[in-house]
Parts: sequence; C-alpha cells; structure tokens
Amino acid sequence: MLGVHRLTKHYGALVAIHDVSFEARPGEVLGLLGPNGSGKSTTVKILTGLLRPTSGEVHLDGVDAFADLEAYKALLGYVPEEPHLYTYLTGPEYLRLVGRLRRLPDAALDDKIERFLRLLGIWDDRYQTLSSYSKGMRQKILIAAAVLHNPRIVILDEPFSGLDVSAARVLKGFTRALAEEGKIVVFSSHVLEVVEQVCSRVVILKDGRIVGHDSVANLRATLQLPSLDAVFASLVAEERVEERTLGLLAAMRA
Amino acid sequence: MAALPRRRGRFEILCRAFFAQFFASESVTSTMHLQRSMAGPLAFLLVPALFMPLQMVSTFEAAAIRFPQMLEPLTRLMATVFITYSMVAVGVIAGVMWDSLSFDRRDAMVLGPLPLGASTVITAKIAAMAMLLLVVALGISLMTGVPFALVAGNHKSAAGVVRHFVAHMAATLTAATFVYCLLVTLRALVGGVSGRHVAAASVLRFLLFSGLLCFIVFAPTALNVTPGGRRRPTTLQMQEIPGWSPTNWFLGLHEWIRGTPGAEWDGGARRAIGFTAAVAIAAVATTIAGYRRQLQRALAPSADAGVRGGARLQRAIARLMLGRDQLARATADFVLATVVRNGSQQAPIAINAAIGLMLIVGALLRTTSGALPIIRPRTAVLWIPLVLVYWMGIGLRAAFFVPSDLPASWTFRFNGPLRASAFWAGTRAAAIGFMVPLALAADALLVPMIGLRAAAWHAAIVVAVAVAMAEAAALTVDFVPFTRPYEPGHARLKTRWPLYAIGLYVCAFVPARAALHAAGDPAAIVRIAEAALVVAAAVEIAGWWRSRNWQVDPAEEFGDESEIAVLDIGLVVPGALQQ
Repeated sequence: MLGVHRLTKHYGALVAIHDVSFEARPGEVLGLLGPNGSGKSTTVKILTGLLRPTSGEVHLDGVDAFADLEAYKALLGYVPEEPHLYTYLTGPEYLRLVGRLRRLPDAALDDKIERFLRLLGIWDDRYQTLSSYSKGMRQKILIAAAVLHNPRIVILDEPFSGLDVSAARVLKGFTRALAEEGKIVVFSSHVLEVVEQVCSRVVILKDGRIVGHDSVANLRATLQLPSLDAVFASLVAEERVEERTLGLLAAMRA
Repeated sequence: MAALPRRRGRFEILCRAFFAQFFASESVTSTMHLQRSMAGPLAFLLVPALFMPLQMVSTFEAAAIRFPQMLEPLTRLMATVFITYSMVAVGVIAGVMWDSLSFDRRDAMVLGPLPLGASTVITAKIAAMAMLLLVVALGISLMTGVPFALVAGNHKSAAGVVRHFVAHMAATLTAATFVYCLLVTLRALVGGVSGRHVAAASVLRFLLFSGLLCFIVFAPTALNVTPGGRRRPTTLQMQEIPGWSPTNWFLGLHEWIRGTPGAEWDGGARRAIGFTAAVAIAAVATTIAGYRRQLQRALAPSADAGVRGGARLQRAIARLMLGRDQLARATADFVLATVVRNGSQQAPIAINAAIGLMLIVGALLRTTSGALPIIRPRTAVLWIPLVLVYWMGIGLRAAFFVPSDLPASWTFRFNGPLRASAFWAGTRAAAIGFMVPLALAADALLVPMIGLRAAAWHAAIVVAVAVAMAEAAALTVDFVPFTRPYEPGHARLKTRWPLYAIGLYVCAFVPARAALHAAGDPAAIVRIAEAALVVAAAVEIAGWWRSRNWQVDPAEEFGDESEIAVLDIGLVVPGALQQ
C-alpha cells in the first residue's frame, strides 16, 4: 500500500500543499482531482520522488520511500503531465534509453518495444525522431516508457492528453486492467468524466488541501449530487463563474 | 470586426522579432548570461579591427619617408587585409547565427495561424537579415576605415582622405554583403534540400572559424618589414594574393573608386559589383522560394534519424567497450546520439577544431617556406592530426556542458539510479567511440604527405592520444552530459589558458617528437608502448575512483527554498546601519 502522511511542500513563501494524507491500495485506481494550482502536480512529483516534501512522508508498505529512493523508483512507472522527451531520438531509441536505464535485458526490451509500438499504432513511425511526432504519439511513447518495466505502482498525470478517441478508450481499459492486475494506480486529471469512468476512489484538492476523499459513489451519495462534475463544483466551489464568464466576453470585445 | 494593426506596424513588429532571434540562444537562461557569453567572442572578433590600423601607422610613415614609391602598393595590401577581414568576420557571425538565417519551426508555429500575408513575413525576414548585415558590416568597416583613411591619406589632400574613406567603406561593405548573401543562399538551399543541415552547419562553422583564425595568423605575415643597417638595405616583403581570389574583385572596386588607373581595377570592380548583386538576388530569391517549403518542413520535419546521424560506427566502438552493462550502454547511446544530431553540441567541437587548424597553419608558416618541407615526416607535420585530436577533445568536453532538451532530463532522474559508475563508463566509451574515428580521419590527412605506411604507424599514436583525450573529458565531469543547465564562463579561459597550452605540448608536441625519434627503432617503440600502458592504467584507476562521484543531477524540478536568489545591488541607505 502507498501511503501519504501529512505531506507539506513550500516553495519559498508559497505553500503548494499542506497536510495532505491519503492512501492508494493495490487493485484500485486512485483519482487525484483539483483545479489549476491546487497542488496536484506537486503531490504527483513528490509521489514520484522528483520532489522532496518540506515535511511529511511517503510510505510504501510502511517503509519510508525516501529512505531508499532508488529502490522505490524502481517500482514506479510515471507518465508526466508535459511530454518532455529527447526530440532528436526516435520512439524506439527513447524507449531503449529508458529500458536500459532500468537495466532491462536487451532481448526482452526489443521485444517489448516492438509489441508496444505495434499495439499503440506507432510502429510505422519508428524511424522518425520524436520531434515529428504528434502530441498523442508522444503521449503513447510516455505511456509505454512508464510500464516498460512492469512497475508495481503506476502514476499517471493527465495521461490521455492529446490522444484520439479510440486510443483513449484502449488506454482507459488498460488503466483499469493495471489495477485488476494488483498494481497501485494514481490517476491525476482535469477531465472529470474520465476520472469517473476509471477511478475507484478520488482525492479532491483545493488550494493545497484535501477537500474531499472517498469513492465516487459515496461522494455522490453523501452530497446528494448526480455526477462527479457536480460534486467537484460543490467542493471546489468555483466562485463567481457567471460573472467571470461575462468578464471574459467583455475583455474579448474590448 | 476589430481592426488589425496597420501593415507597416505588423512589418515593424515582425522585423524586430526576427532581429531579436539572431541573439536568442537555447543555452543561456537570461539576458545577463547572453551578454556574458557574447562578450568574449565579440571581443575576439573586434580586436584585429582595433589593432591592425594602429600597427600600420609606423609602417606607412616609414614608407612615406624612405620608399614613397611603395605607398600605393602598401595601401593596396592593407586594403586587401581589411577587405579579407570584413569578409571573414561577417562570415563567422553569419555562421554563428546560421539557424536564424532562415525560417524555422518556431516561426511556423507562431506565424502560421496569424492573418499575415507571405509577403509581409518574407520582407520582414529579409529586412531583419539586412539590418544584421548593416549593423555588423558597418561597425567593422567604420572601425578600420576611419584610421586607415587618415593614415593612408596622411600625405594627400583632404579630398584624397575622403575618397580613400569612401573607397574603403564601399569595398569592405560590398565584400561583406557578398559573403553574407552567399551564406544566406547556402542556408536556404541546404535547409530546403538536405536533411543533414545540422552536420552541414557544423562543417560550415568549422570552415568559417578556421578562415577567421587563419586570417589572424596570416595577417601579420602579409607585410614584413626588415629594418636595414649600414651594410644592409631595409627590405619590405608583401604577400601575393592569388589572381582568382574574390578579394581581388573588391580590391578592384577599392582602387576604381580611389581613381587608380588600370584596366585590371575596372574589371575587378565590375566583377565585384556583378557578383555581389547576383548573390544578393539569389539570397532574396531563395528566401522567397523557400518560404512555403521551409514552413512545411518546419511543421512536419522529415526528421528521419538515419538522415540526422545514426553514429553506427561510434556506437559499435562504445558497445565493444561496455559489454552487457545496460546502464552504461544507455548513457553511451544517449551521448553519441546527442552529439551527432545536434548543432549546439557540435559547435564547440567545430570551433575548437578551428583553433587547432589555426595552430597547425601558424606552425607550418613558421617552419616552412614552401610545399616541399611538409612532404616528409617532421614534428610540424606529424603533429597535425595530434593537434586536431587534442582540440576536438577539448571541444567534446565543452560540448558536455551544453544542455540538450533540458526538461527531458527527468528521464534520467526518474528512470535511472541517482549514482552509478556506469554513467562514467558510458560517457567514457561514447567519448572514445566519438574520438577514435575522428583521429583516424585526421591521421589520413598525412597519407599524401608522408605516405600510407608511415601514416599507418603514426595512427597508433594518434588513436592513443584520442583515447587519452576522451578519458580526460570523461574524467573531468561528474554528471551525465547535456543534462545540466549551461553555466556561462565555466571554461575559465582567462585563467586556465596555460593549462590548455601545456595540454597541447603534452598531447601533440611530445607524441609527435616521440614518433619521430622512434621511427625505425623497435626499442623506442616498445618504450612508447610501455609509457602508454602506464598512462592508460593510471587513467583507468583515476576514472574508477572519480566515478564514485558521478550522479544524475538531483536538483528539484521547480526548485525550493535553497534556490531563492537575492540580488545585491550594492545600495546602502544612509543611516540604515545605525538603526
């Protein structure tokens, strides 16, 4: 089990997250929801070991993840929000780089890369550098890179960004299948419909604090609201929506 | 419908944006860094322009008193030097700004969706390029033209001084325009036709920097005045400029404006104006013709990795050294792919190789007076590949500090271990894989000079030095190359130049002398091999010891409290300390 206990992160005077605690269990997809600036990305980066918290702990099976970060990261797969890749490498070259950094044997690696590229529909583009890939194609490479080593924990930050409808459907199924395989899956997204379809439980963040944490069904039932969208609007309480909409129109016309 | 900015306003905005692109760099993170990184090269470029006119004052005065008949040839010689300098300096600046001499991907992404006519975009780009030429060429020509006109026209009328100045400005500006337009045409053609424009740009940079540096070496030898004594007359020697050289066309223009009689000057002037007009038209035409094509290419670059460079040979050499160590192989492949596919990483190697070429030319000029002495084994000949290898090694190490797709370095931070000696092993293998083929190519230059057999023997020493340079490059860094932000001034050339000089002596001069002495002496060859083995063992031990410090940059993605910087502006508020 992946446990986050009283996590706080400061950037100078700015408090990005404050006292955030939750758990992600094997066999479930935990959704991480929140508006821009709510602390989702900071939480994800701490979970992946790319950022250290100012205070608080991340535990895997009761053991502090940062005590042996290398061993912890060996169990992780991560799709970042921004598709930052080495654009002068080809798709297979990038995947080979990641696979070798994770010390996967060459024979198994080449076989895996070919299978992933064929299944994701980018086999024909294997000789092209990533600079010529579309956003969706780059996203597919990132997803393949994240699961290349069969990780125990998969952290997905806006994983379906730029994907076409059929690829998104396949990967939604893949995300659920990962959980069914017994993996711990953390899924961060702005797209509430996707979160509703994919996640078993959700953590809703606002201004760096947790404002809701339960299964989607329980949240809907508790708040007596028909959808996750309504639950989100109720908890995050987007203020003066209509006023701001009109303001935007006025600014455009000015 | 809201009114768009008027056509002239849009043109001005675009023109300014295109002009600013010439000075933008992916490697520097702030204007201050940019200024710091530009100051050195600019100073280097401008020093000859400042010193040459000062140096010629005494020569001109001596000639006016003792050899009045030599004043005109001397004026022509100095004009030739300034014309050449103008051409080379503008060429180097255009070479540095090579990528901005044409439309690129950013232009396509930003300008594509905007309601701008192709004519507005193209004229703005051409205007920005013309502005750059004007600023650079005018600056250089004025700097040399004013003192030259005053010195050369010292013994003439004021009208003569003005005429000389006009001739100088016209000749140097036309010469600069010729070179600049030629490079713009070349850039448009290479960008439109070839997928290997990264390699082409690096080769061109090497040639242009070599041209500039060789000019700096040649310029002092253009005129040689030997003072006379009681028994010996003063002698004045001037270098001959080959008749085919374009420099002569612009000298013709210079002399034609000055009113020097002679059919050869008229012919030269006509050729100068004709060829410059032709390349200017070609530059404009290729820029216009290539606009749509280049935008299409920029939006969907063919970007076949094979075209950009597969580095198969280099990878094979690295693989031989690394065996099955996956982490080291990942590092080696990454380093090699980055170097062979990116202009930013190739630029330091090209520039340093040009420094090597300058030293070789300088040494040959000092030690030979004709072609024959270089066609036999001697230090000044045997060290040619060694000097090139030494400076390419220095360039490779410098390239390690130039970041590549920096945000993508999370790949190493997330997927790899934080510390591993395999990073060092991979970088070292990549450096050796990169250097060895270059060393063999450099040694091949000797084949026409000293023959195949001698060059083949010498190749062993050149390869050994290449390996030593690669080892040194890997030994003096402690991170995966290209994954850290660039730190301007890390080379500390101002304080470390003696180290580079000693390195040149140890890595080029000493091995060349040793090779010369060992020729035909088996015992000496054995001694050299023993010394090489000792050095290799020492470097290996040092490498393994140092590799313990190798790590993936642990810096956090968005920084934390420790990265908050305070700018000390040195302002002291009176009385503040007392309170």
